[in-house]
Amino acid sequence: MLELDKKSMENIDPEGPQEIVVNIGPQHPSTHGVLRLVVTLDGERIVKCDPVVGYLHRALEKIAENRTYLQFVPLTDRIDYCASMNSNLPWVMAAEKLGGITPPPRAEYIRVIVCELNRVASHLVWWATNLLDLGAVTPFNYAFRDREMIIDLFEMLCGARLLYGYMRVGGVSKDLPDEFIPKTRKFIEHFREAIKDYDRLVTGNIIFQTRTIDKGVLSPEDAVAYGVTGPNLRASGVSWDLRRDEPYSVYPEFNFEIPLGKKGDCFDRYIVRMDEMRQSCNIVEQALNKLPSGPVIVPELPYRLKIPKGEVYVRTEAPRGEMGVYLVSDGDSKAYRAKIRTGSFSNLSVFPSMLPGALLQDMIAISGSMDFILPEIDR
Amino acid sequence: MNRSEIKQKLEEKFSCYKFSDDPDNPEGIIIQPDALLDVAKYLVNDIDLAFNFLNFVTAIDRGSKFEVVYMLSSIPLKHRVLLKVAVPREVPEIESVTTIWPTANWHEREAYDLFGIKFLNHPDLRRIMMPDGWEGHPLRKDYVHENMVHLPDMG
Repeated sequence: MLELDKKSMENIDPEGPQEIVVNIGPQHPSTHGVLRLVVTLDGERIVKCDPVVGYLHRALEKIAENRTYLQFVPLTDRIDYCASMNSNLPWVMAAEKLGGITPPPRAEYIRVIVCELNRVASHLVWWATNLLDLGAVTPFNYAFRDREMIIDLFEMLCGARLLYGYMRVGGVSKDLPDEFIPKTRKFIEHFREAIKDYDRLVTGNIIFQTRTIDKGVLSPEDAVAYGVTGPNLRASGVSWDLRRDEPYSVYPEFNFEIPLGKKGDCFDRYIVRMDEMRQSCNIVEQALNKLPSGPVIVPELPYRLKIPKGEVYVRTEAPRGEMGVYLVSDGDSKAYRAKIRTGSFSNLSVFPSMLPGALLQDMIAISGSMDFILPEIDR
Repeated sequence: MNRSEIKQKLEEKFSCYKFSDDPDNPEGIIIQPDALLDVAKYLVNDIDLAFNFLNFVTAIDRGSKFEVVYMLSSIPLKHRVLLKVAVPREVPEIESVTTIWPTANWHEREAYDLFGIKFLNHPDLRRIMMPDGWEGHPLRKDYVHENMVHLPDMG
């Protein structure tokens, strides 16, 4: 026996608390990326949890100080790779707001369409992986079948399947191809039926409900105090959606509902996201019906766009909460400072306070229902 | 409420502190470092202000000083404000607001890690992004690292 082990064996007090420290991650199937959780356990119950992040830190904010506004657009895709379109949006909106650039109306509509489709795709990844964590393997196949259709639409639009880099300061890079609109309508028609299948397959399932109802309850007070946003906040019953409460782009022109939860448990978070996917379909359908004609980008904007001195904070409702860009310009063609505020960062900071007393298996259900994405936390 | 109304309320409440408009930011109010905790408590608790939501805490490197930035929103009243506090580069220290907004915990850790700003009375001031034992604070403008490559400036 090693000297160190001998010493630690001698120090165990048989009458004292039998706490053990379990290290989960950074490479673990249920952490969705490289999140490390140092969990202190008393038997099966969690005493303390300390998340360790930073494994995906790419210093995007530093890189932003060294790139022109256009050059940084592809890097914003990497903030949240499950929702690249939604990650493009705050960056280009911040540059436009500070530069006094108004994108043409058709571009605004296209942005809303692609963002809402991307929200559905992102929630489908959540649905698939959350259920996979809970031991249900089949839903994964259904979700990825339908997500594939959205990815095909985006591939038609810009050639990429995951990191689109589609938006530009002043509009979007290309107009919609001819087949895009009929195929999107077809997808929505298909998806409205498919989501009923999802409900039949999972939502009423007794094992699923036992694992999620009354587990990981997040009170509205805690949610607000810890800066939780997005579906997690709305599941706690706080009606706060930037698309309605601080409207941006052309969202005021659409009718949609904000789904709310009652208790803030894992099941409420599930229901809210399922309803959000339905609402996103409604928004896409309305935007397709109202889509104006015209150009999709402000013509002849210089590649080396100079933005006047000033500061702005622009925030949008991304699938995982408030994603905002705080842009500081000193009048040059590069940002002086760019702070990227993401939903998952604050959503993860509340996570340790939800765990004490829960079982270890509940931790997996809770982290799945919170829908963290690690590149967004580490940036 | 817009900035001038918020500023007026602050000036009425705290005659001992100085408040000024931020020339760069139409939402920004510059406050003194020693006023931070008093102002923060007032902004949360006053019924007409109710800034219950802290969006983020970050910093800007301005050469001789750092500007610590607090973005605040009110969920019930749907207004927002940005507070700025200047701290000297030699002694970058400021009180932590974790007791007022718990979310500040991680945001202040990030500002500490990347800018080296020391938040006094913070419960757990450790690096969050960079590995423990990393030298320097990467988002400072004078930060250099052997692996950093400057791209040629494009035309």
